[in-house]
Amino acid sequence: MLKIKGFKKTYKEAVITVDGVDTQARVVLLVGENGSGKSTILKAMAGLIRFDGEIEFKGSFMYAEELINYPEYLTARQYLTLLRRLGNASKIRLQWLIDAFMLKTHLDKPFKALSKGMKQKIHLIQAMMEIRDFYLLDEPLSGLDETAQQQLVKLIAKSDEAFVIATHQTDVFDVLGAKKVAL
Amino acid sequence: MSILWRLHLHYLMHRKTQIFFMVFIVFNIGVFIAFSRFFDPVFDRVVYQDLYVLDFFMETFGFIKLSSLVVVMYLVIQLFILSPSDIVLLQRVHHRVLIFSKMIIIVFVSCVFTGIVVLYYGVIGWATHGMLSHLFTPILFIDLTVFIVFYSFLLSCVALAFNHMFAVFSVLLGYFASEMLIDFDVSLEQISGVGYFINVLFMNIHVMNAETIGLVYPYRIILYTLFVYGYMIVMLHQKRTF
Repeated sequence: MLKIKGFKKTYKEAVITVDGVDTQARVVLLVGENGSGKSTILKAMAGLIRFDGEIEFKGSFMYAEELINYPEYLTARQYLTLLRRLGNASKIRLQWLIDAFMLKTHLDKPFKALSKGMKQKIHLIQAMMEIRDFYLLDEPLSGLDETAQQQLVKLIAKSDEAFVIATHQTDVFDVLGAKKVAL
Repeated sequence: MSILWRLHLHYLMHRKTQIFFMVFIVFNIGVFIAFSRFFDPVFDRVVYQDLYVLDFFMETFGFIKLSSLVVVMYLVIQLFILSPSDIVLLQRVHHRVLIFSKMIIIVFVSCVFTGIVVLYYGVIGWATHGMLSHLFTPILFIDLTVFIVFYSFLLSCVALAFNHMFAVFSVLLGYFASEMLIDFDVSLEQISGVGYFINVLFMNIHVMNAETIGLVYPYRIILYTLFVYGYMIVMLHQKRTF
């Protein structure tokens, strides 16, 4: 399902190399210290950076970056609705995700009034509202409280799609039997 | 496409852009107030000083126009930056659609911005009147460019920058022309006449073409310019009669 051979990405001050990753697991965790290349691998999978070597995975994907600017004056509902219409996503799935993250009461607040955790939930919802073969999530637990973290784990458990997750908090995903790839 | 435009507009007007606009507005208001309060040339100075005053004004407003160029260039640069928020959109629409829609909204915002600046500083009159009065001169190129700019922000910026550089160049040209004429035993009066001729000839791009200039600059600047023109004509007439 995911193969990485001779991956090499050279930055000005660092070289990231990954090799010998070959797994069939549905949920893959990329773990490692800061600067080890977790986000780089996800970006490479999303086709956003050039690199040497090979990354093999088949199917469509949705990539959710860690940090993102939100349109501050749009409400969460407006933002998600616009993205849903743009990507022709299902209303039912969007509503299901909103309910799963218990975000209903915050939907009509503008982004500037939302906490980091709320924004993170919206970011995950926008990424997962469209059905894809792979979801590439960069630090999805960042800013989420324990309840929200468990909600995310439950959502992943219920899903049929594959996940590649860059994270520091591997213990949260233990229940999923995820394959850990140390970088 | 309308969804993309809305999202682009919201993304474009994020905090960094707001700060950019804020700095521009505060800075320009500061310059305008400083000049209208502290810069008060008197009428009875010698002509050379008048020209200096005029030039000083032109430089300042040229600077204001150039600072607006910076804001517009900032907006243009946004087109080439693939931000994380763009990546969210990129995964839902084709790359070309994303760039095209972003370009449209950046052009729109830039046109609104330059339109406001242009209206405020009277560049419209400068451009349109210049079109009519310089149809058969090399200045046509600049005037034509500035005329088009009102509808196209990028050309506008290039024209403004070009014009500004041209004005600075004309001052130097006048100076060097005057210096060279000394070698040909031309009198000081005649030198200043030729110098002014060259200076004013180019400087009219900035001053004389602007039919709305009275709304922007103090009227005395127009009087100064007319005075310099008059002086130049007198000097040339003297030279011919000598």
